[in-house]
Amino acid sequence: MPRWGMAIDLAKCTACQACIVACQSENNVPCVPPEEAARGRILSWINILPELEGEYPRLTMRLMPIPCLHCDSPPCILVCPVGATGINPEGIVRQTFSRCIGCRYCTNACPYTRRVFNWYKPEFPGEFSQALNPDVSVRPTGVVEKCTLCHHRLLQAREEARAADRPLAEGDYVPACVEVCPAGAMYFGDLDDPASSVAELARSPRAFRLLEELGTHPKVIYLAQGEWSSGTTESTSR
Amino acid sequence: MEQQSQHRANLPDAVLLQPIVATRSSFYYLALALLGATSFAFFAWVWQLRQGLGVTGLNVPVYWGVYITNFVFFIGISHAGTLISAILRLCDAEWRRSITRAAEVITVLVLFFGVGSVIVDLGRPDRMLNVLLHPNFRSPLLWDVCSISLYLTASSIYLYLPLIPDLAMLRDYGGKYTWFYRILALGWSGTDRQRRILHRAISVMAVLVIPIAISVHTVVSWVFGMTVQPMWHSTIFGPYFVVGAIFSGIASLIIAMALIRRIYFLQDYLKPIHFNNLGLLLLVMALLWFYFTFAEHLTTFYGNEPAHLIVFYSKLTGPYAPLFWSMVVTCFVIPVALLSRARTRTVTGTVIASISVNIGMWLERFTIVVPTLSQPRLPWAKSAYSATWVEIGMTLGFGATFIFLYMLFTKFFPIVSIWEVQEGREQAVPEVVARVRSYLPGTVATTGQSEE
Amino acid sequence: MKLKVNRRNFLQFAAGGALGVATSEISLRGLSDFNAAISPEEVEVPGGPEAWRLSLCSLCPARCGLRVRTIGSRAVKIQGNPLHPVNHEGLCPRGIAGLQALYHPDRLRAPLKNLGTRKSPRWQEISWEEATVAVTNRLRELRQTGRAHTVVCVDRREPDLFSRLLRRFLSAYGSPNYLAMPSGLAALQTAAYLQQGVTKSIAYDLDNTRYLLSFGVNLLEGWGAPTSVMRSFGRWRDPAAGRRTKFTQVESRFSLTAARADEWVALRPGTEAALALGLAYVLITEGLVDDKFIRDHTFGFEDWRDATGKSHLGFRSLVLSDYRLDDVSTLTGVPAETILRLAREFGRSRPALAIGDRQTSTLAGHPYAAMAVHALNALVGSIDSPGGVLLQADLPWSDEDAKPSSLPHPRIDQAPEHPVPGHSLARLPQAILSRKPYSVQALLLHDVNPVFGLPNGEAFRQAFAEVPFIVSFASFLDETSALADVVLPAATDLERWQAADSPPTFPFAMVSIAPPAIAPRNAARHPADFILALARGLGEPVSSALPFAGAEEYLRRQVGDLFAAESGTVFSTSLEETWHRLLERSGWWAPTYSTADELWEQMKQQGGWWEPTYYYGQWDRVFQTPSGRFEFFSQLLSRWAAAHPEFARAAGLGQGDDRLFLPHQPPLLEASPEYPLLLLPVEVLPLAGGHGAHLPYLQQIAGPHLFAHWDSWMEIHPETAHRLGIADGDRVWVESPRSRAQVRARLYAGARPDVVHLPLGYGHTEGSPWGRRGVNPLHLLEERYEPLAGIAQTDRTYVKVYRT
Repeated sequence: MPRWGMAIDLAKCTACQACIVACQSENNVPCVPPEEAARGRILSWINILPELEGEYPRLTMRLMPIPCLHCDSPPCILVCPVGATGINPEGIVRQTFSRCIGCRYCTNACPYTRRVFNWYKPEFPGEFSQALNPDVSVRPTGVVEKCTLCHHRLLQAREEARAADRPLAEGDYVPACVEVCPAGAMYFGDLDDPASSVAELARSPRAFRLLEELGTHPKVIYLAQGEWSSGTTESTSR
Repeated sequence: MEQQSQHRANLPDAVLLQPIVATRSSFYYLALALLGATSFAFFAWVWQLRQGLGVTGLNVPVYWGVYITNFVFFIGISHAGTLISAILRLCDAEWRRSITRAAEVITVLVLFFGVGSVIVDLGRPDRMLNVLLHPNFRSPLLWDVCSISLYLTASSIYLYLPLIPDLAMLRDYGGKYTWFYRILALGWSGTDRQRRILHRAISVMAVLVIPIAISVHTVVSWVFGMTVQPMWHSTIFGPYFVVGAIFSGIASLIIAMALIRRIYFLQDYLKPIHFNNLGLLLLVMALLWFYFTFAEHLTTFYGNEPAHLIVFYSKLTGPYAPLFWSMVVTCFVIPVALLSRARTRTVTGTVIASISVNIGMWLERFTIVVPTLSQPRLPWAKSAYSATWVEIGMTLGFGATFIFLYMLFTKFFPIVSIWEVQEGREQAVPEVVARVRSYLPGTVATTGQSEE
Repeated sequence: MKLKVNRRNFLQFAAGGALGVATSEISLRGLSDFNAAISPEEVEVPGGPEAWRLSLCSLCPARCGLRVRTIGSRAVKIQGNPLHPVNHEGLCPRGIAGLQALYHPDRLRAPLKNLGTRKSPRWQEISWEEATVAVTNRLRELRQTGRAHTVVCVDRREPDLFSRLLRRFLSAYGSPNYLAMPSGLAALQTAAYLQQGVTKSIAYDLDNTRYLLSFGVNLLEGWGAPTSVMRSFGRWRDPAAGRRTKFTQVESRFSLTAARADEWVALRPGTEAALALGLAYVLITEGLVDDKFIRDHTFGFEDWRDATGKSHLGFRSLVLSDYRLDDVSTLTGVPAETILRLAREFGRSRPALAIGDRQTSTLAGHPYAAMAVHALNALVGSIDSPGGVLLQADLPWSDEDAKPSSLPHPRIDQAPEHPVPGHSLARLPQAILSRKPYSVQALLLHDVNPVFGLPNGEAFRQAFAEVPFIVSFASFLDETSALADVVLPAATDLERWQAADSPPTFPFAMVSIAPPAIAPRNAARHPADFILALARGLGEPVSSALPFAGAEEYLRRQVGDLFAAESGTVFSTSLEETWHRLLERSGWWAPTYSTADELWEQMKQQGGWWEPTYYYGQWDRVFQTPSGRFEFFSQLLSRWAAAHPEFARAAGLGQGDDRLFLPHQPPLLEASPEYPLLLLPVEVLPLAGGHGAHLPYLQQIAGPHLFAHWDSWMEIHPETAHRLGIADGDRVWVESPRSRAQVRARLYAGARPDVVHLPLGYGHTEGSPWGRRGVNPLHLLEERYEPLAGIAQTDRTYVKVYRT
């Protein structure tokens, strides 16, 4: 049984936010009107967290794309009174939209604040509803939603593999965000398969997990930026 | 007929039946005003149902606000009744006799508003039944559901049992709705056997209700305590919330007592000594509450963990400082000042202290719920939380409806337990004399009126 | 009371128990059904047969290859085409947001005719036939009265094969006036012309460089071909590469690009040239230059004598005398140790590449500064070599349509006082209003919005009001289209035949094509189809110059020329690409197609054709200067200046001052007490190019570093703000000598204390309500143009900021 995980190489990420828009497009995440955005109610399953340090002209800024981290010990699934969220055998923290009663306990329990809530009925003005993905449900008002690692893509990939009578290969199933990254900064695969790129990167000395000390065991692993050193690019003349 | 009413008027404690017998016009005016607030709240609720929870001031990351504060607050007040009357009964404190009914009614009624506060906070209240159909027993919210249901059941029984003799009295009184009282009185005729069973049952309930009550507010606190969020994940939340609940419960009781005392002319039954004793209890709770709050904040400060300190400072010096320090003043400074001196521990004094405490305790709930949420561990965008008219309207509506229902209760049932007061008059005095005698050296414990 | 256990009691108990269980069973199920019944239904998304189709994005000049997922007749997802050499499977956020442009509620539904006036228009929907007839008649009339040359066409700047069609049309019709919106690469191309003598697009080999020094280039926020640049960025830092390419960003603002760079060097705005020349100073004095390259392929490094025996200043002397380390450090604000270290790193890491100055996809820098930066590349021999500056390969067909017009009348936007290119769109309003050299009678606008997107937008509005007939192709009724007489709804990317050639900074020759992915919404049409219909309606000789039935046939013919070129390959996997390169290097060409038809079919399937091999060292192609070498001292410029004496004055130097022809630091404009803060507009990726404000996806991600979205924000340094009494989020006035506007101030430590920034793309006054928010910083800027190419200088406006 694979244990799905993701690795994000912060050295390669350009903070272009293509992952954010791809996720919204793939998963029927509605846009909110500007007034709602001003009240901090933008719905995005993956978001960039900026952290600026220093003073002009000595500044550094860390920009981290953070989806649901699909923890192996998620604090959120414990607190749902109706079991609308839980972790499936392959490690994906599922969200059952049709059962959620909207109490928002899970949104408060997540230490990464990676769950969002539908404050209003989602709107798809004009013909935006034409662009809805039929593989993903459209959530009604009042339910919590979050990244599902594009679980619908897993189901489709499995079906295709079964139809072609072959096992699921690496690269058959990638979430929309990982697929679209132009810098190739995101990797996805089976953490339990020692040969997969994700598992290898997870063993890298640059790898770290966010808020690791809380014991959530997130399955999205970050690779620290790293540094350039003159030893790596100096060369004699051509 | 004339003779009957004369007879009634000459009954001892006839004033206790007065609210049931006659209704002044001021009742109707007040009822109208309160129901006005109720309908406004209802309108706000329907508006929220149609539009979505977006009409509140909630946002990311402050997903809980006034509604959950109300939930904790109302559940806290529910500790007034049952806990107070149960503890006082078990301790044989004789001054409880006029108070217990008023206290128990608070509990039973306010629990509905506590639960109601959660329901209006749900994004999908139409799916409420999922809690029964797909319960997840690892969730503290589900422990809440169980615990509060149990508490409601127990409190209702605990209210009903001591009501039976009074219901019988009303049945025999022959006023309006006699059929109603007859059904509820269950054929009480005051025989010894019945009295014995009743006393046994009440004692059993009194013992049972205490752990249930404590469990209620403990699990409510564990809704916060069982998460990993800074300044929520605290081991003392259980006892802290229970103390806070009893604290605000007593305060509410004092206010309720003062109101019914004035409105229904019960000065003879709710005497300054009652307020004095309750005021002392309130003082003890204030000191206990302060102790817990101080311990909580001091350990956070010493711990120096960045995520916790951010929340800590947001409460002490940051955006929530005005609310936090108002809470300290209203929960500790004013009550202690008023209640620690006998001269100010009067009816008026205790009422002022109680109002102050209730305001403070609402602020306390708010400053527990909101600052932690508004300073999440990861520094996402800040959005200030301020309640909208929907939330404020619902809060006021809930309060008004509660008061209305309480008033309604007093119209059908005696708000002071008549039979217990009579029992006190007839039996308690000699019992107490005998009891005291038994403590003192050189006398044999006897019952009866030997050395009067 | 004892419970007697007897049969009667037992039966009663059992019956009661059974009844209880039965009823509870029913009630639990009933509860569940009831629960489901009272929950309102969720939205059903219709299904349908799934198909993947190709397309091209046109939200920026990169023209990335798209793979579009369609369900039935709906397009539901846009992804990258893994075979496309520019972006592969990656996309920038704007490409994905193309779906919102396609299904936008405010799109024009039908051709519109203005029945009112320019000032107060009254729009009526008309049919395409009516529109075609109206435009054809007007054009025919102009041609017959000998005024064909008074028709002016303004095209967008994205490379498109259909642009050629437009040019051909104009040429055949008799108008020399094919104008295009300015590009952010204008200063760079000016430098390339003056120093290399080429007008072809400059390209960069970003993949193979080991040290990239960027002088304010908006590298990761929309410059060049964004997805291709990001892909190279990812490769620089890929652990599998074994080495890490250093990327240093020199910029006054701590932009997203600067934040992602290995090093950020903050400098005083406008002093990029000085810094580049200061680096040159160190390179020269420490002997880090590529002597062989300088000796063999450059001119003007040393002092030289011309044919008359007059002595001229060389680059080396200029740098050593005017750009000493301490002077440069003082002027730019960069510490001397940093300059020293940067130069040493640049000189020792080969191949090294310098790009600049200050370019975004729409805002160009200053040509003299671009020359200074380009000179650095010449110093280290990074021209036409791996990892260096390249020249975009030519398409293997003759570009008849790009040749300068041989028509008798001059172009309307002549700018003869500029050596290159000699014309400028910014001149158009002046030319229209002055009616010199002739009065413009008609305007043909293709998806352009100069009223919004250029600093002198107001002048365009006034000028356009004077033109008797304006036709505009647009998807939305924007500021410029609102001034038209006939507005024609253009089909968006997914709805039309697409064709593009190589994007800017991309080295290889490439032709991407894509058939329409879905049928056009409403009445939108391909502009090329309309032009062809116009051509047919106008009769000879226009109709015979464009003998194509539609866009598809035109493309098909072009592809026929590709086949005849006998080189290159259809888009393929990287393995096949490597194999092809190998063969080509050995002189073989083994295509996967044997007829033009096969090529056409394969191109439609895979996305296009390209030539993946770059031939380095073609010096006669790369240097077309009088000396045939890279000219530090631009003889093209000196010869032209000799014929135009006023140029020296415009450049602020004395006549005969050789520094005119060498890279140098242009004069700086100082602040005044009344206007103490410099206003620098910034381009953010979601709104790059000035488009995108009408797309909610992009508005939601506009300013991630400040959590800013949906509205303009002004970045101001916290201390400066504190001094002015401004808190984060306060509404303030930004006032320049030209105009003022209200905007929300945001404290940003990355802004230089004496500079404020406003993002481009906001401040629409027409079109979708979603875009009509915020402030357009271009309208606050003072109009200043530099003397070499007439490029608008957007970093010379000082403002004052105060609370409302």
